[in-house]
Amino acid sequence: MRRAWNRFFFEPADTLPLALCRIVNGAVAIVCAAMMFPDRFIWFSDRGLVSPQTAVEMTDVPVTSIFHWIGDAEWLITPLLVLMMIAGFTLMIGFLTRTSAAIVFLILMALHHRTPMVLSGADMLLRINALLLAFSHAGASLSLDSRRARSPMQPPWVQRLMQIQLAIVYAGTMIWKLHGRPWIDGTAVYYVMSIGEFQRWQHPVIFLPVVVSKILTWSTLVIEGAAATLIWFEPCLKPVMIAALLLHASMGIVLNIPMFQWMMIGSLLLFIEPEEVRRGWLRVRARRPRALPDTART
Amino acid sequence: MPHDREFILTVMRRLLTNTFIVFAVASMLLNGIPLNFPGKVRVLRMARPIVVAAGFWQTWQMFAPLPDRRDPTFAAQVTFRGGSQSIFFLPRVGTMSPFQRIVHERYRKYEDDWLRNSPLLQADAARFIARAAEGPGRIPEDVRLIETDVVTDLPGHGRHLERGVLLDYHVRPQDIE
Repeated sequence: MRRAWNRFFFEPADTLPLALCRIVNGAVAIVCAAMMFPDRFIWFSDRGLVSPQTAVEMTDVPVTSIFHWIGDAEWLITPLLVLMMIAGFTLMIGFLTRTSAAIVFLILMALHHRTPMVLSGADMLLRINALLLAFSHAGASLSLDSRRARSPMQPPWVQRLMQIQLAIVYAGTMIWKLHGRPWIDGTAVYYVMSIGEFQRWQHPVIFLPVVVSKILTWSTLVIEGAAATLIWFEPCLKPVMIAALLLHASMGIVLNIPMFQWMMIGSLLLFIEPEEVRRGWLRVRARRPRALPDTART
Repeated sequence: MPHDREFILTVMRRLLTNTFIVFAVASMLLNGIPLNFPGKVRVLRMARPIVVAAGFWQTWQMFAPLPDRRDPTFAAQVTFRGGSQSIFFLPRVGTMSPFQRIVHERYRKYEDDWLRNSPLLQADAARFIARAAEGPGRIPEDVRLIETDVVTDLPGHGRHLERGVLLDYHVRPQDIE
């Protein structure tokens, strides 16, 4: 048991998958801050739609946020979001990786504790991933930090925790769904598609045929169940990853849940085989057109 | 001795890392998986402040257990001093362009998941609208918050409208300061 634990969490592994996930998380942090920008005073200022008193009263435990400590912090909102974009960028390129991740995490904590009622799944996953990345060796590959000759082989305990978190997302949502009748009788997707606010594009309401709704509803449950469990087994890894990627890509095209799909796809990269990425990259490079011979230039 | 110190540091680091791993996995499982076991409520109540402070709180319902069947519109009927009235609408993601839908996605979360069920948030929204409606010679006195839903019926039965008053709020002078 102890040996298995140590092998799973601490046996050095290639940091490439973690680095790929880090890049996606950095990019999402930038976009997330940019998306909050136009409505920043509506959600986070005392004169907005949610007063700080309401935010505190509606939370069942004491919350800690810089906004609660210093009163009306309207002046602070813009610098915080700008700082989050900068930290997201440095996280993406792997410059001062741990510090950048910690800054993203602390800013998200401040914002999330200030107004928890506007949080989406992407916000929650980004916050948790940023916390874990702050302890990680995600800067050991594909980064500016890696120039300082750190080995790309490192104990993967943070990568494992992020993988476990991803499996819990899938398991959690699947179990929630199994508690709801529309997910069992196959009408859930019918209802989701009939709500204008969830649609990615502006079009008349779609009433799916029930058969199509059943296929989509049940295949969602199957894919989520597989991504929570079968993804851990080598022979199932590829088909499960492809199915999960297709699920998120199609949801991203049809439904207006923009950042969540990217966060999930970024987290799925944690399961990717580093050697396959390298082989794929070499194939792409080999296909690049070479410089024209001198005769052709004239 | 330096060698001993290094060994102790390594052991301490490994111990801390293992403790963090156990805490993180337990937090994820307790908050993320909706399974019941004896004493879960007590454990959650005790652990929640730590989990929230550490940043691990989470819920993954995502259209579950019951996907929303309501497409809501929230309007506010503002009555000004003198008796004139105006109608204001909260932004509605369903009427926005594809780009705006992404940028203003949080309105959907706020309106669908929270505003409908929270009198505290409704009062905040009424105050916000009163401040937005106020202007020279326009002093808001009352705000009535109205929700209009297009509700999807069972497959094959189309949709129907439902309308209701969420809140009647009398505006105080300090609300529009």
